[in-house]
Amino acid sequence: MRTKTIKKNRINVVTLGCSKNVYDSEVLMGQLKASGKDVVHEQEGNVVVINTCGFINNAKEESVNTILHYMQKKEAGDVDKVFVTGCLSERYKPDLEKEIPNVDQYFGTTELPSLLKALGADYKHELIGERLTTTPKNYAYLKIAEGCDRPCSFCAIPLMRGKHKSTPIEDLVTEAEKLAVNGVKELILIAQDLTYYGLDLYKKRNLAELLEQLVKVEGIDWIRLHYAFPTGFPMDVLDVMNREPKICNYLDIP
Amino acid sequence: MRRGTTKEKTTKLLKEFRAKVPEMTIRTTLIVGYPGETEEDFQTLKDWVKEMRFERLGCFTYSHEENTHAYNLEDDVPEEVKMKRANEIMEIQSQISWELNEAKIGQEFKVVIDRKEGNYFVGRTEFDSPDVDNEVLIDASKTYLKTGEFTKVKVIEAEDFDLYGLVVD
Repeated sequence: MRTKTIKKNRINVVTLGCSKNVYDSEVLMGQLKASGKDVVHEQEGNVVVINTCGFINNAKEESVNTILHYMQKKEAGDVDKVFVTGCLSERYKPDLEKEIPNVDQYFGTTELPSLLKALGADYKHELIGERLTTTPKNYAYLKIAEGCDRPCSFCAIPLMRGKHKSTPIEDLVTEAEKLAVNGVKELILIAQDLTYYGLDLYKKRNLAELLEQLVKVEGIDWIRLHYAFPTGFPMDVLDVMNREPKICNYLDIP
Repeated sequence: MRRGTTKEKTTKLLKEFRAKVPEMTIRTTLIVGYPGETEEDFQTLKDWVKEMRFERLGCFTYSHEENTHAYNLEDDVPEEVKMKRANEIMEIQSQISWELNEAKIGQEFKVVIDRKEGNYFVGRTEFDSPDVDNEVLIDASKTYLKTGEFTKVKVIEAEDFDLYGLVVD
């Protein structure tokens, strides 16, 4: 009698670039896990997803080299499939498809459902905040908005991430609560532009209100602010920073 | 650069930040070698970095990206000049950072322990973000610490970017 071995796929997610990409990889991994997939981050797996960066020359080069590295592994039979997602493939998909055609499929930054489908998983909208974090367990990134409306002359990010879109306060609080339950003590707030938070959704800059809600989350000791663009900075954030000991006396101003 | 701000406005804003939250650690990132950047412009930038004394600072060299507004300009600062300027900025910053770190010797800080590396536990204060900012190193042969936990640390030694500390009971 013949026995048939069924090889179970293990999906290895590789992340390049910034903390926003780390966050996106974690969302992808959370979705894969929810669909019962075996998923790891930057370890070994026969199916590889490369989450690329397309920001500046060095970063693009690193992303291309990483794709080529895994293409060699595929040719050698060490991995079965290679998928490419993230900013580089959003920005240069037609070029990449032409130059590195052996990649199984390229996806843009807004194509998570199709990427999941290609990986044999379903996109579950209800999984708000269900991420598989890749950072040490005491801290986690919290992406409060996507995209950027700033017209800075040198910056390619809006080409890859689109217009600013704030995540509602209640969803972010839910996400923070889930992270805290899993042992996270420090939230690192990120977006392309923290300063713009709320203008699209609440018609006003609403970072201070978000902070007021996040400090109430039990188990969170530190909240840190990154990428707060100077133009239009809402000064009421400083009042919250002074009043709330949980808000780190720290500001990253791009 | 179409950032919607000017040197004067940014300086004023930073001074307001410092006045309202005196303890605040400010991190920023600069670009050198933007199209048309002259030696004189660069001197202005260096003077400004010295004046502002950012606690944390990073510096990119300008990358000429298609489909951006600046792509219409000529990428006329040679790559080696961009690199040289970035290095100069980081040298100035190393000195500032060292001076600010030196001033912390003897002070106590709440530190979170991120990991153990070699003979040290590696921690951070509230003034430091993971991966990009300074770290506090604590001799692991003398103390046992749990990663992910907060502890109180007294700074005993300072380098350009990192601090050494002892656990305070």
